[in-house]
Amino acid sequence: MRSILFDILCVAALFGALFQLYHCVEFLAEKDYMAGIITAMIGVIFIRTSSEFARYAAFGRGE
Amino acid sequence: MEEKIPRDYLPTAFGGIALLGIALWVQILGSALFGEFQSQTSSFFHVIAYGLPIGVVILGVLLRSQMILLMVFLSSFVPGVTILPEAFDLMKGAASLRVGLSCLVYILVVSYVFALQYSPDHSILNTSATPLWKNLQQRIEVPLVYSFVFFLVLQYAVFGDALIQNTILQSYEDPTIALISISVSIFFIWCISIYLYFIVPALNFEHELAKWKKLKYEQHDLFRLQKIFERNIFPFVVIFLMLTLVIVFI
Repeated sequence: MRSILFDILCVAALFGALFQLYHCVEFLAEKDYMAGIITAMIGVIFIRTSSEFARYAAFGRGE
Repeated sequence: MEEKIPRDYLPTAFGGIALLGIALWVQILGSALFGEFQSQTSSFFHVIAYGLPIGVVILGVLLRSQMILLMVFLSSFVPGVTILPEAFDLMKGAASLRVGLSCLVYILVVSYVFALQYSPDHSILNTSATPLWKNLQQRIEVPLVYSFVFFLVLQYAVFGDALIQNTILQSYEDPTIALISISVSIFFIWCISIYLYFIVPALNFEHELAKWKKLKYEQHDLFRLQKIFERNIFPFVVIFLMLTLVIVFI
């Protein structure tokens, strides 16, 4: 049950990352490089979070 | 327990690495160095720049250093390639493909040899009956599918989204270069993130799981000790409290 919750959170964080990186493309298209870099960093942090959730879910299943 | 392969156990492998490195150098800078020796106006600096990778690969093989063989060796081509005359252009015909393939083979062989040398200690790992590759396959497949979909959506953002296309057309003087730069940047971010946060953890999963279990048992033991301690100390605390109250209100 707990691993399913972590799986859902992992996918949600991945969607968050996708949303941020999509915005990053929009900012780069507007030549707003600083905003682009910041959103890209937030996107990477979201991917990292998603990876942690995936790890916990896998730990739950591996035990 | 799987033993680590000692440092000097693989002389043939390091000989092979040296040969591959020299083959890569011959393809990229070998003819340029030969041309430099034949030319009347040869420069010492050019000879050093063209010959540098050979020195680096020999040093790397002698010291058995992964960093020198991978990072320093590949970077040492940069000065030579920067001053490479047009006659030895690497982008001509199939030369770029050949160089790319040689470089890939070199990186794979070096990584493989060092992975053999420094294989992790398997004694603490979970020894399950499922083959390791099967486990890896199951763990990597799903993240790879997610990552691929993720990549496709981002590429759609760059090349397919009409709003973004119009913004690029208005903002940049040369929209084609802007498109390529943005897509390359996004691709770079995607590669780094997926490699660091999905591929590497998936490859190290057995080790991480063993560490996690160890930590959990330790915490479980600590929790049990805490319970025993509380159970033993609780009656004394109650008696002490009651005595204090009695003394205060007398």
